[in-house]
Amino acid sequence: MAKHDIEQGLITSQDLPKLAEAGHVEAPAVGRNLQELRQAVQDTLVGQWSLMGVIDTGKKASDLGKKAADALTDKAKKDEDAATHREKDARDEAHRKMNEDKAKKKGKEASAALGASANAFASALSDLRA
Amino acid sequence: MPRLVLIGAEQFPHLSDVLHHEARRADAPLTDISVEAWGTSATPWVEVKDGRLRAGLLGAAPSSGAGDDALGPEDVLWCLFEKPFPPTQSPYLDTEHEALRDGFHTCCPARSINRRGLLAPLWTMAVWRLLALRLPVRQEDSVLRAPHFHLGPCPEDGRRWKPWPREAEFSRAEVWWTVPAPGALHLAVVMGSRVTLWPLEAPDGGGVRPPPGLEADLLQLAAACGADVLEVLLVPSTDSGGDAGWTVLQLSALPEELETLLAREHPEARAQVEHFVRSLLQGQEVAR
Amino acid sequence: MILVMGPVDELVTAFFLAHLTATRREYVFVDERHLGTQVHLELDWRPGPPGAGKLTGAVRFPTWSVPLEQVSGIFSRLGTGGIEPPQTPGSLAQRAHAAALLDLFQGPVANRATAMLSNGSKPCQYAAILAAGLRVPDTLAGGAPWHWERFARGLEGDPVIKSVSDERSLVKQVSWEEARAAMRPGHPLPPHQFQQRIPGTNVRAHVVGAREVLACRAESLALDYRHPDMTGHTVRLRAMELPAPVADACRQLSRALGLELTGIDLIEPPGGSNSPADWVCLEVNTCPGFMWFEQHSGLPIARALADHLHPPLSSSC
Repeated sequence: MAKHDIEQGLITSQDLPKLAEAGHVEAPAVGRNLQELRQAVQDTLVGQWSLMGVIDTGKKASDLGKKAADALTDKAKKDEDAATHREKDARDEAHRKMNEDKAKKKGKEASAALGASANAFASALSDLRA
Repeated sequence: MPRLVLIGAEQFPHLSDVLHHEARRADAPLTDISVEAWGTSATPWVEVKDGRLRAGLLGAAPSSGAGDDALGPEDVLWCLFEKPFPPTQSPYLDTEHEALRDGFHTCCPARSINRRGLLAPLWTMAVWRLLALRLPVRQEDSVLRAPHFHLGPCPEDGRRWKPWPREAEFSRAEVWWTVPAPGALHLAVVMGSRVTLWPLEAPDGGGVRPPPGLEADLLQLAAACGADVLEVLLVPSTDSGGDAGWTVLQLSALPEELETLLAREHPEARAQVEHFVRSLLQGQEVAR
Repeated sequence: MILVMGPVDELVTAFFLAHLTATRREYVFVDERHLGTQVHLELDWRPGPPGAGKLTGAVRFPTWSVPLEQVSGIFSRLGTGGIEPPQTPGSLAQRAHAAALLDLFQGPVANRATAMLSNGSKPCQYAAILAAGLRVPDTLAGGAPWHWERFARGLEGDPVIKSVSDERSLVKQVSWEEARAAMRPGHPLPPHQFQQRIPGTNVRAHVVGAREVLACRAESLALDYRHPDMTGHTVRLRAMELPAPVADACRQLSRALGLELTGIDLIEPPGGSNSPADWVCLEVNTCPGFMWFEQHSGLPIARALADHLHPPLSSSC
């Protein structure tokens, strides 16, 4: 990232291809203690992603940075959406599992046995009592 | 007369029989939508007009009493079972269909038994987390408590720990639980304002009304989870004596054990369902 | 101290970390890619009356750890940033433990995993929005062509069409005739959401801790100001004070959804109004990308969030 951009405190549209090329930075080293971790985080921010640190709240985006900022909005919105998806995936997975259990039970006589869940707990309890 | 709308009831044939019988008895129009039809030939819609929510079903003509396909606040909706939609070629459309169905469950003005949707903890949160957050329900007066949970490697503290069933299968979480001095496994069936307690390890045992403290806790727990019909697996502590302490092991909004009890022709189970449905159709029992 | 979880190169995570560093706040950071490899979460939940001590545990690093008792609040951007974390059983387990921690932690969490789900279905949020006293545009989601026609013909002007879910869609204005032309006979109708177009000014309100309300107006001719470059329009964000009853409605809405950080999209009626019933709420973002709004409007959102997650000593008692 060019030094003058950082001093201006802006991500310009010219910077975006470089950012895209750069891809993700590595996670900071965890270090041997909290201080070392924080130093590694700081180094990471000051390094490739220093631009994040320098477009601070005191500096307004100029027209030059507008387009880049718009692209950031776009990305930020995508991120807003993405975070909910993972928890939803887990929920859908739970639904699928529920259906599998149900499918296994189907075909049995309804009165034949406890449900899958009750069976699992009954068996766990006998272990706990042993 | 309220309309009774059932979704996925064919998965619980004995319970479905009782529901149909009660609807006929009350002369209430009944709409029965199969799991396969739900979301394909019978689809939901949601409308907001001047700040009022309306919702209904397309392609699900009632067996009698046809008219507007909107469901009103006097109607009763029970989605007993639903599956994720079969994936189409468009992940975008798949998500849209799921979102619409969740929106329908949340917004439908009908009295919904065990209302689903993304604001319903029972349908969105892992059960062990729900137990940890909701119990105890009546502070120091509570007789119900959650097990001791541990996440991570199995503790080596001399106690016996068991992996939480199911959790590891879908989230891969390492959830362990233990309970001191567990007694016999019981099932509590909460339906509206009535609770029955069944000893599961003595299969011929009949259902009884639980002691007052336990009954109050179970009703409160169901309310705290947004459930009208709730199956609760629980054990008494043998070292606390009587009904002084019970541990809840699992909750289910699917009436699977109830179905088993009905299949075994337990009269208490049938009476409990009949009372619940009659009260609903007479407008005395308020579903969420 | 504040526990921050997310990928370090995700914009909002990095922005918040930079704020914490610049303001010398105590924090511990867990990069999502380290979960299950170098970082492990261990939690212990004891039954008993509510209060401190029910949840204990630690964030464990290879040679050191931070007990949860030292954590005052949590900020999570897990699942964002487009990274592909390892799919090993250990990593999957640890991400599930992190989701559990977000739900179970007794201090402030922005945001709890389960509470964030409401954004997955806009109609799910409408029930909460209406209960908070704000207005929702007239909307039809799903339905048959005759529903659509009746709905569209009952509006002044053409409706806009947008996704029901949180999947990204460029909001478009369509006439009933255009919608009808797009239908394919014999094919099931797509579950689109038709909505009344609301005149007024777009306002984004960030609510922190269901207490602080930081709002800005978005001045743009674009139909969807969040994607102005796609329509050739520009956007200008200006900080503003919401009328007190409207701010209260936003707080109530955040509280009802169980969220400690929300980005609420509002439309201010032309000429303004103090009544929440005149303000339209389009959506509550449950994982808001507040960085852009802070940069362009100067609103101190990161500071308010940091204060909420780790209150300064002067306000802690």
